[in-house]
Amino acid sequence: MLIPELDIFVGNVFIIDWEIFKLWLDGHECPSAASILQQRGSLMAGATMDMLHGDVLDHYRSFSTLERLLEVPTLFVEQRVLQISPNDQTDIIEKYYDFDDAVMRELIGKKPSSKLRKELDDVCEKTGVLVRSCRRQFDNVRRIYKQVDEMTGNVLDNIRQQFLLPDPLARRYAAILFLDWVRFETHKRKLAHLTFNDFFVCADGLLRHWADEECELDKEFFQDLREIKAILEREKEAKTVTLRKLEGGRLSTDAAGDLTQNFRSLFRSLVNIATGLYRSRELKDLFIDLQEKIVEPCKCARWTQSDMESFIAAINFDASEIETFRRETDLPILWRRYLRAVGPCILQLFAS
Amino acid sequence: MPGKVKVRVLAGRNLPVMDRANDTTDAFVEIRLGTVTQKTDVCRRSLNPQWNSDWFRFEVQDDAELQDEPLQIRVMDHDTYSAHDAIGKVYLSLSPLLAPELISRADTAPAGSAGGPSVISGWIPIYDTLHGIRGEVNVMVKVDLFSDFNKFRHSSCGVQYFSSPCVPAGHCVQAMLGFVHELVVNDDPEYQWIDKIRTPRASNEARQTLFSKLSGEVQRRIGVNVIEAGGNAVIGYRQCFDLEGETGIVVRGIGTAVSLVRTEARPSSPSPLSRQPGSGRDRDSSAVEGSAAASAGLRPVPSVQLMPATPEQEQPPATPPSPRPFAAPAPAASRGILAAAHQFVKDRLSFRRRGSRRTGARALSREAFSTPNFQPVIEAAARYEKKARPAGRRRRLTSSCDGTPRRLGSLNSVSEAAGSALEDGDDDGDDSENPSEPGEDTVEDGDDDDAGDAEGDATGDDVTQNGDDGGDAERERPVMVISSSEDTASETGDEAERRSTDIPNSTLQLALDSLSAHDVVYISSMNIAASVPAVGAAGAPAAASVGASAGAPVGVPAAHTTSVEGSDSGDKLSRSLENDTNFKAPSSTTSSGADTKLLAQLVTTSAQQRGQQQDNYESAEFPFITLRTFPSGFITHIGGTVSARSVKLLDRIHHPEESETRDAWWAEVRTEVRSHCKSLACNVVLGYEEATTIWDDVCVLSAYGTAATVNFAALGLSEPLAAARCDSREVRSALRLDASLTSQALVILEEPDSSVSNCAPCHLPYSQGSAPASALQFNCAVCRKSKVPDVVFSTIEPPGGLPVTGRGCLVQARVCREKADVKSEVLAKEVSDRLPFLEYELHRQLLTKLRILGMNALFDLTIQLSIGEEIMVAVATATAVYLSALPPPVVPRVTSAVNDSADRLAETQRRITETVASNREAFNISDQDESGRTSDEESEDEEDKPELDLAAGNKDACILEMDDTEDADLLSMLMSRPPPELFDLVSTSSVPGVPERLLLDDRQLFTRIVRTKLSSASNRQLAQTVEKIIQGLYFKLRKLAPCALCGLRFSVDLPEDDEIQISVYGAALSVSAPLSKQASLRSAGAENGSADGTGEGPVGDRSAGRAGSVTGALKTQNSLWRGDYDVIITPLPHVTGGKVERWLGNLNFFFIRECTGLREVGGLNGFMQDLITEVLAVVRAHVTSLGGNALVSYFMSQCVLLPNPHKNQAQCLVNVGGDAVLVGHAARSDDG
Repeated sequence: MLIPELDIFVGNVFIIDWEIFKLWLDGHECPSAASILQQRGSLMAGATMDMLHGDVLDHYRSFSTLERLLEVPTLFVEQRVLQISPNDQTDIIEKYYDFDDAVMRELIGKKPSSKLRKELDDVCEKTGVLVRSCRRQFDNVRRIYKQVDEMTGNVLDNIRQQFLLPDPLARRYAAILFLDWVRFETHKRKLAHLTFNDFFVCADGLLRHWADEECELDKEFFQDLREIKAILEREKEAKTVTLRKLEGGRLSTDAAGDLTQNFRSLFRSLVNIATGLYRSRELKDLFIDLQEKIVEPCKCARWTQSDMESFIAAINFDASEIETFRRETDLPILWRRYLRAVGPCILQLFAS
Repeated sequence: MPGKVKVRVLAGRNLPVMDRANDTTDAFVEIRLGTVTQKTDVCRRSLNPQWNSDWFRFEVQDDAELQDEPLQIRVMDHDTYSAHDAIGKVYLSLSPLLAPELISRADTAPAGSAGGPSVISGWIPIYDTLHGIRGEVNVMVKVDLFSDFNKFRHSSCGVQYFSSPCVPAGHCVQAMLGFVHELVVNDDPEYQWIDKIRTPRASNEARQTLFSKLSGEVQRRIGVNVIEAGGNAVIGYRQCFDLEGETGIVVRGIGTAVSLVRTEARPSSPSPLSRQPGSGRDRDSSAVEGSAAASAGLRPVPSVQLMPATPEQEQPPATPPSPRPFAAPAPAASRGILAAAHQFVKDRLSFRRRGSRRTGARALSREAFSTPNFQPVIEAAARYEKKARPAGRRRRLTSSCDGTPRRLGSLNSVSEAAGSALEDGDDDGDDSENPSEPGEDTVEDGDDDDAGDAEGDATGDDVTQNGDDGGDAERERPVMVISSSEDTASETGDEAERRSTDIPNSTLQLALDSLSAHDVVYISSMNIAASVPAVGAAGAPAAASVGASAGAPVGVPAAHTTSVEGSDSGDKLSRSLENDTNFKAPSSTTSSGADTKLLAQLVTTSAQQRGQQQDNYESAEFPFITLRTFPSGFITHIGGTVSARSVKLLDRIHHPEESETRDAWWAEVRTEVRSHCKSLACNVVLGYEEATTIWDDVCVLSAYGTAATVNFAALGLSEPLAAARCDSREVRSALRLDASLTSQALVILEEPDSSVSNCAPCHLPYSQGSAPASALQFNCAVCRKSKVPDVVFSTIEPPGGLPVTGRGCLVQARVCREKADVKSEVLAKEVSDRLPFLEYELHRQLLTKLRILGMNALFDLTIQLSIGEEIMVAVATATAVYLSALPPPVVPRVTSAVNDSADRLAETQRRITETVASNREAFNISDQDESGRTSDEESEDEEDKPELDLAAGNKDACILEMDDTEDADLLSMLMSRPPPELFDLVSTSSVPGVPERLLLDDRQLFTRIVRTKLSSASNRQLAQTVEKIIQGLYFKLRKLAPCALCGLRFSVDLPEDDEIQISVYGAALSVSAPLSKQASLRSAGAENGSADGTGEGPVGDRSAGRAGSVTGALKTQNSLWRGDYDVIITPLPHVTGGKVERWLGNLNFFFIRECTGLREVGGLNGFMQDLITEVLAVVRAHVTSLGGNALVSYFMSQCVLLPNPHKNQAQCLVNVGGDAVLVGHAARSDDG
């Protein structure tokens, strides 16, 4: 069949076909999108493959117009070249800026440089997501990174306002930026099994409890945390208190046995990680440290998730429970703030 | 009027980066009006500059400048060391700011709140011909006009323009003043040598600016005409740009001048009848032209006689106050004469009218008569063309042989009294006398001296002509006679008896019949009836008129045309219409105008302004109305489609007066259309359109419309103030709206028995007997009284209240013909040789398809003609409808001369029959049809038909020949698939037969443009290409289904040797459920049928309720009222699901876009998609800046794409526009 030299279809109202939009976002070239649609049975009786093909092409062309506008969502909302309902606008932005966890897993913790952009083929291979889609996701991150990096003020608000993203998505981006800024180690072999969501939960926790609104980690807090070391002098007391709290079958037998034996090592690891955070090197290794020193030993000892939860809760001492804390009243505050972020991280890592 | 334009430039946003070095722009704005330019400061380094300027003032001496010149706002990038770079421009037409206030002022009342915009304010895209939209600029513009009492200055400020081919919602027409048209000619900058050294941008902008100016100038000139005619608005305004290439550019505007008032402001007016008094003035005019005489004859209508009073009144012709009895008659007469003279187009008789020689013999060829029905004028035209065409130029008339006068020896009793009188008159040699005599002598008291004079003159002319023609004249006379004298009274009596209700017509018809016995063909006499009422109205008090009308068999006031045929004339058919001369006579006469005026006066109490105008003596040169939608009752009869084409060679003329040449060309074409109209016994052409097709240096002018008789009073009826008066174009010329109209109106007034009058538009406007023997006529299936044709073709929307069975659907005929690749004169000849075949084929296809659809009428017919290097293409698009009044269509029969194909033949026949049956079912026609049949006592008629057709060898009607495989192919092509269940497809503004309430919401305006290779110049290939595009629409819009695609407009171009470009646009309206499934449809149809304008009867409401509740649920999810944030654009004259609250002005844009990196923007597809998207965006922004939220009657024309892929370039021109409105969301609760 002859393909017309020109074949366009334009509407006054931009009525988006979400199905095709999704295929486009997924990076399908037009022919493959058309054949997918065909397989899904999108052809009505009487419609031919070239109609479908032409339809997809029309949509793709308008999507590329959209894409230019979407680089600056605030302008996209203001633009009147394409007449899109406000609801659709919001949805389009959200879907365009949404990403595949698998792809993002590969991107986090790395500076979104052009070099990285060139490596997207690998990402594609690894994740099975088409390169065009990877590129879009990467470009989105880079754009947000670049823009927000230059701004002061609340990062989350900046993302929300500059890119008009809904809160959950903005939060995810904030976490991504945070992971990138700190350059957390996320790609070591031992962490390879972790998903983007694991890191998101962790980063989100860290952001909530350790960072200010500009996503700057509280350096003073890390300095202060060094004093936490003092608690090690009272390790026995800590153990007693912990075990007491966990009495009554709150732990599985495996965990209970292991804990009595290895409390010291676990406790020390936790404290050491805390006291090392002021060094950026160690900060970057936070996840790997948690994984190696806490999660893995416990897993070996066949702890369950709820064992871990109970444990974390149990060692969250308050000022009255440990002698050291009674003496140095700011220590329990530091400790609890530390655990508030690290606790969930451990749980998340443990769960994975 | 001097005026002051004030402009503020507030800010810009999203400007492009012009300074690569620092990624910013130093923007400033130049504001230009005429020759004056002012600038803002430079806003440095910002892509979102804030200028916040003060008001820039432009003082303009003459408002003409405001209308001609768009305000140009040009955004520039300041550059210290080199020339400033242009970012882009905004053209703002100031005309919306000039007009509306006046209209509201006129009303005094609540207009203030409802007036047009007083300011243009808002963000408007900055458009560049090379880059498209580049950001937006926020401006505010106001205009202050100082009123000026200098009456000698021609100002057309205050005239409002509406693209909408209907009376704008919220307004009513006080007076319809006639057809207005203007054109201007200019050099096209693109083709001037200087442009070869200009940059593309400069060249494009020069063109855009020029086009914009020319468009403004045309509008202004039309405005002057309108004001002179006493109007304040143009509706159905259409503007075209003819890009003639080397010879320049022609901008043409046509429209219908009216005097419009807002409905709220309208004074409560008594019935039209009450106002009779002032109408005397025109009679002079009427008298002037001879036509009057004829009319006098006509007058005789029963009513006249009945009313003694009337005559008296009439008598005082001279006295201004007195009603102009004559006028009315006069027009009628003239008309009749004309009609007679012209005979049916088909007949192509030649006739020579008063021209130098008075031999007005018109010979009718018998062949002509044989044509089955008159409706298919197209066909007629086609034939006509064939013959005429040979010259390559329009050939008009002349030729023919008039010669054979035939005589009606037997005028029969019919004419008896009158007839004799006439004859006598003829004999006397005084042409004029004939008519006059009867009039005078007889009861004519009514016809006063004036009448007498007028008649004398007019008739004299006409008659004479006829008479001169020879003995032949006699036949004609009869007609006149009939109408005229008192005898009529007696006649009427007879008639009444014989004829059904039709009354006036009947008289004539009777006469005819008798005549026909002999050789008579037909004579047109119309208006008789009309004249009567008019007279009555004018002269007598309402009561009188009433009585008159009552007296007359009210029924159908149609005018009839009868033409007499000479027996001999047979062989020759010369058809020559005497053009101008003939017409002029009538036109100049104005008698009709007078009538109209009369009416107007009668009707309009507040007709002060109009008063003077009525003095105009000139009758309308062209009784054309560019509207397509009419209130119910307005159209009294539809005669059929009339069209004319003319092939012209464009040669370069260097004078600015060039426009005169073009004017003359159009005048010829219009004259021909008018003559066709006359020959159908009609007095106006509705839904009138003009178009040009240009290829190389050959230009084909086409004009077409629907011949009809109308009732001007109905304009007022629907919205109480009515006035009827038609003027001719520039002026003062009153149109020949016949008195008959008036009369009819009156009749209608009196007898609101809508069920009867409902089907009237279907009835033949001429008498039965006047038709050739082979023409098919049937009794109206609704009223059973009048005759109807077997099919109706028309260019208008289905008239309100016309009973429709089932639903309408799109039908399209496409014809493709090879043509030789020649130049200039040879080309012109080639084209004119081919055209008739093209048209004939087109008509045949339409008719066959219509029958296969199981329907019997076409509405909203448009014809697209396109010429390419080696082929010519014509596409006719229309909406097929089953009119309940017309007989059911015959299933086409297949015949074959080839013996061995009997099986195949049978098979094909079976397929056709099945297709027809399934179509009937699909469009809900079948049931109705049966019931119709059972209850139809005259069903024999239907049974007769096939035989009749066969006998007559009437191939066009229903026989398809299948002699070879090509024919077989053709057949299969004719049986195109109906739209899928979820869709309805029509070219009309709503789906005929479907109540408006089922159409929920205007969801989408879609535009599809396809350009593809046409591998062979066959109809089949063309059909496939177009079908594919239509199928594609269903697919593209599948997510909106179920929906109705309305207002479809196709255009076809042949840009390159083997390429074809087809564009289509339309509105997708959401419906709650597929219309084919709507349970309420049937009752809705019935309700439509019976309820006339009254809308839904109680029954309808109940069913509506049901539909509504079903609908309700869906509506919530399905219907998005989006008015809050976006601008609806629709090709329909209304917004479905909304109500137009304010009309904010007419917009018309010409965009040029050029691209030097075609591949980079995604090839042609990317280029065009961006262009159309941006064009719509610009249009929306302008609507918003006027305070509107919708653009109705959107059009896109002249989409000329010139790609040059080898150079990686492309250029495109496109013209779009429509009416900006503010729409409110109509509360729809009422339908649920």
